[in-house]
This record gives sequence, C-alpha cells and structure tokens, in this order.
Amino acid sequence: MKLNVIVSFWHMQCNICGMTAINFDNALGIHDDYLEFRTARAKVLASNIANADTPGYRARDLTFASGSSQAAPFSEVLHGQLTLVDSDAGSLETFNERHIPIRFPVGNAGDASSFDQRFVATYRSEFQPEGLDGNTVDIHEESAAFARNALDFGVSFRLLNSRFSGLNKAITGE
Amino acid sequence: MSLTAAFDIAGTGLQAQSARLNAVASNLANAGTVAAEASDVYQTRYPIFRASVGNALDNFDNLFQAQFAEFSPGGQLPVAGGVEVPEILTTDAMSQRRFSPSHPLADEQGYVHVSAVNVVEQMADMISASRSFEMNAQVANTSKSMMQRLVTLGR
Repeated sequence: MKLNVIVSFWHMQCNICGMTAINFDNALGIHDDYLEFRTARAKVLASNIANADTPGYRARDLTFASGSSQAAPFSEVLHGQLTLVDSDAGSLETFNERHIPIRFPVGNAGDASSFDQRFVATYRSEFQPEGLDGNTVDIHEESAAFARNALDFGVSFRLLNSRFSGLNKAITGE
Repeated sequence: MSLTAAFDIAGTGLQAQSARLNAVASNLANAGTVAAEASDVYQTRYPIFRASVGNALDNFDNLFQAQFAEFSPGGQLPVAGGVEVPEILTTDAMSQRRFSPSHPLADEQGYVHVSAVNVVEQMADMISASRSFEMNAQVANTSKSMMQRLVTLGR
C-alpha cells in the first residue's frame, strides 16, 4: 500500500516533469535555474545601483529568454516544460535599436545544454534622456527592480524548497 | 556564486560613495581658506568614478563579455561590475585673489589667495552621495537576507 502511494506519487512527479529517469535536474524542474537567474539578476541590478553616479555608465538588465513575452506560459515554466523561443535565426526579437540580440540554442528544458545560454542581457531603454554625463541609471527604477527581484527570489526559493520536501516525502514514505 | 558578487558590487558602491563624501568633507572644511602663494591655495578634490571589472567577474560575465564588447567603447565591459575611484582630480581653477592687506598672509600688494570651493555644489554632492550610499547599503542588506535564506534550502 505504502509502495503504491510512493509509486503513484512518483508517477505524478513523472507527469509533471515528463521524464522517466530519476535525477535532481528532473525533480527540481525549472526552479533551481530560476533561483540562479534571480541571483544573477541581483548582481546586474546591484551593478546598476553601484554605478548610479558613474559617468557614461549605461544601465543594463537581464531577462530570462524563456520568461520573455514570446515564451511559454508560466504554468509550463512551472512544470519544467520550457519551450525556448523557436527561432531559426537563433536570436531574440529586438524592438529597440539599443537591444542586443543574443543568440541561444533552440530546444526545450530537456535538451537545452546550458542554462546560462538562456539569459538575455540588454541595455535598459531609458525613460528620460540621459544627462550630461551619459549615465542612464534611474535609481528609482533600479531599486524597485532590485526589490522585486528579491521577492521573486523568495518565490522561487519556496517552490524549490517544496520540491525538495516532496522528494523527501517520496524517499521516506511518510 | 552570484550573490556574493552582488555583495562585492554593493561594497564597491559604498566605498566609492564614502570616498566622495570624504572629498566633500575636505572641500567644505577648506572652503574659504587662504594661502600666501597661488600654488599653496587649497585644491578642490573631485573623485572620478569608473565602472570596474574588479573581482566581481565570473564565468557568467565572460559569457556576455563578447556581446557587450562592441557596444562599449573601452571594450571588455562585463554585464555586471562594481564602481571604482581610479583617481581624485584636484583643481584650483576659479581660486581668487582677494585684497586683504591686514591679513598676516597678504603679499606686498595686500592680496591673499582664497580657495575656490563652490559650497552649493559641494552640498548638492553630499546629498547625492548620501542617497547613493543608502541605496548601496540597501542592496547589501537585501543580498544578505537572500543569502541567509539560501543556506536554509532543503530544511
């Protein structure tokens, strides 16, 4: 009976991940990647804030390629079934001349070789014309983005943690 | 790990802003000081900020360095980096000769040289530095709680 529960639980996990093999990558889904992305973004935003007074510094940001507007709905992201933007050109759509098109591999979470390659780094498009010193950091925007990123970090952390406790339950069979 | 780098970056920000605040303090303290020779007059300090690569670099940056290199005139600018104060410029431009024959430092014609510190400019600079310092402290604080949270993962 207990075994049945475990097996059915595991099958549930399998359905979620769409995988049959047991490994951390499948069990944790996208959440560990997301957490990594949040920490990376924290760094970029910290850099913007530190350079708020540096002449010529242009504010920049990171987006998650799969989390961008063209990407999969969040439910899919949540279940670890990422569909990266399918582009034969292999670069993200840019809608501002300041955007930097970055090429990335096309595939899904199963075969994307490296999470790093799903980051997209862009210069931030400015709301206000840059000042005399060429600095484009808007400190309010950056601090709001940083706070939001910290909150998102908390969400990802929670989700990841629940994945771990789910695994723990499956292992101990309680 | 990236969060430690965020710490380092906020640290460079704090350092740079306190250097700026130091310069402001020095400039304000010397506002209106006089000297006998034009060469001895107080030189207003201006710290220069520059985006730095520093030790905040990791593999993640290397990945994007190539992407950003062509967009940054100096090249080799990573996605994320701290700020540094490569030099503190000094200038005595705008220093004045003031006619003050009774002053002990006055020359034969009765002139002393007065430092050219713009007090209004320095006060504005001080406020700006203080705000930026706060922001960086906030970043360090938030990074700290994120890290603290991270070490409880799986518990």
